[in-house]
Amino acid sequence: MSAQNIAPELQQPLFEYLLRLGDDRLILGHRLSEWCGHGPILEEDIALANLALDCIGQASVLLKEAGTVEGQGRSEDDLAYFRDAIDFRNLLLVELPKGDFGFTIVRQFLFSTFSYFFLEKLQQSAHKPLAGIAAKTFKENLYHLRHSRKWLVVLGDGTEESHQRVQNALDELWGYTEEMFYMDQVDEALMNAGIAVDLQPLKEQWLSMVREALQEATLELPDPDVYQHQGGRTGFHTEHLGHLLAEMQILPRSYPDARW
Amino acid sequence: MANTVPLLDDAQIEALMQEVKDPELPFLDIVELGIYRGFRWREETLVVQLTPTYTGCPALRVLEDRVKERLAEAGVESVEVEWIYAPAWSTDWISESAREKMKAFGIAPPLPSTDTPGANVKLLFSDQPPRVPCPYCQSTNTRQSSEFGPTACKALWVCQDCKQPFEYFKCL
Repeated sequence: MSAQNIAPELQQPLFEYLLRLGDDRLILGHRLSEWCGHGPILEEDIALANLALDCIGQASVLLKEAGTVEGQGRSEDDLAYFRDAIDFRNLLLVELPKGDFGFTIVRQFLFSTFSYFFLEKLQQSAHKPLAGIAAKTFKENLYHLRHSRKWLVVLGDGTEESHQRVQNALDELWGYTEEMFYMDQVDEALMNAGIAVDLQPLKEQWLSMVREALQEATLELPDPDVYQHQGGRTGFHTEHLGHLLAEMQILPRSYPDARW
Repeated sequence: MANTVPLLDDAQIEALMQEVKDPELPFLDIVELGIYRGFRWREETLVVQLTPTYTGCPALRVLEDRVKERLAEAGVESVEVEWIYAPAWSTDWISESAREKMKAFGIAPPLPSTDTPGANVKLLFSDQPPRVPCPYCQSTNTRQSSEFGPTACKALWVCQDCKQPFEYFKCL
């Protein structure tokens, strides 16, 4: 795939946009991979590892395309392993530590629900490679959404302990959900060219699907006026991202020529 | 040097691609799995178009190497693999012969994608996954034990009649 037909003024915004999408999935994939060997039951260990694999696979094609658009010869591995926290563009939501199983499930549910509506629209992107990746990713995400929603209901409508844990996770994570709908001049420039998705109309759809699931799970919708954390899209991250990157990047940074 | 490139036609290339087996399902080739999408020549370079089953599938890189190896053996020195994402691979593209082979190896082939969770939101959140026939005894008295299995493309099922656990190649 070559950087075909990209107007010069769109090159930088498109690079940023691809980093945002790629980094969300790379960081979330890494958090999910932390469950490998620690899942509450064997099947769940395998399930979370599968989700992690999907996310990292998606990140790899998105970052590869970012490198192509940038045109500086950076590969997906260069972008994943040789950037610092300030250069990452992921949502704060996905970098928070994995927490307990309930926390991981609630985060996955909130993000996968968002992705469901987002990827549906992104398939119409005027940037053909992105539309293709969206079509592929949309299908994989259906399994993530189904899986996390099922667990949300099981845990929410489960024991007193499981109910309380997922309610706490939901309350804590709610303050990181507004950022999913964050838009700035990057989105605007690309929306005019039919490349990016307008996130504003997705919010109501997202909220309605979330509300329905919470009801089934006997969970309370958190206080809508809770403080909303933002900054990931422009490189202002929580302290957690640096620690995550240290673990994720140590090998290629210590041995840049390592092959396997 | 230009004359050394053999002029392979569609059928010859496809026949070579039928010799490239999936590393996870070594009894299936990339043509019957719908992974091989076609080719084009760019001067003396043969550009082979493949589509990933799952974006994170660890077999992708192996497949790419095998395609290049097989074509090199056939005398095509310059081969590139181009990954195609749209239209997205669907389990509906798996051929009838591949489905029969899956069954023989104890893997239930995918149901039509209209039965997949993505077909509509109702199915997406349904508690009742479609009944997958047991590849051993054909009973539909089966249950899913995990939607995720040892590879990205398979789920774990158990037959409640013959008691045999089996893998289901899930719809995508």
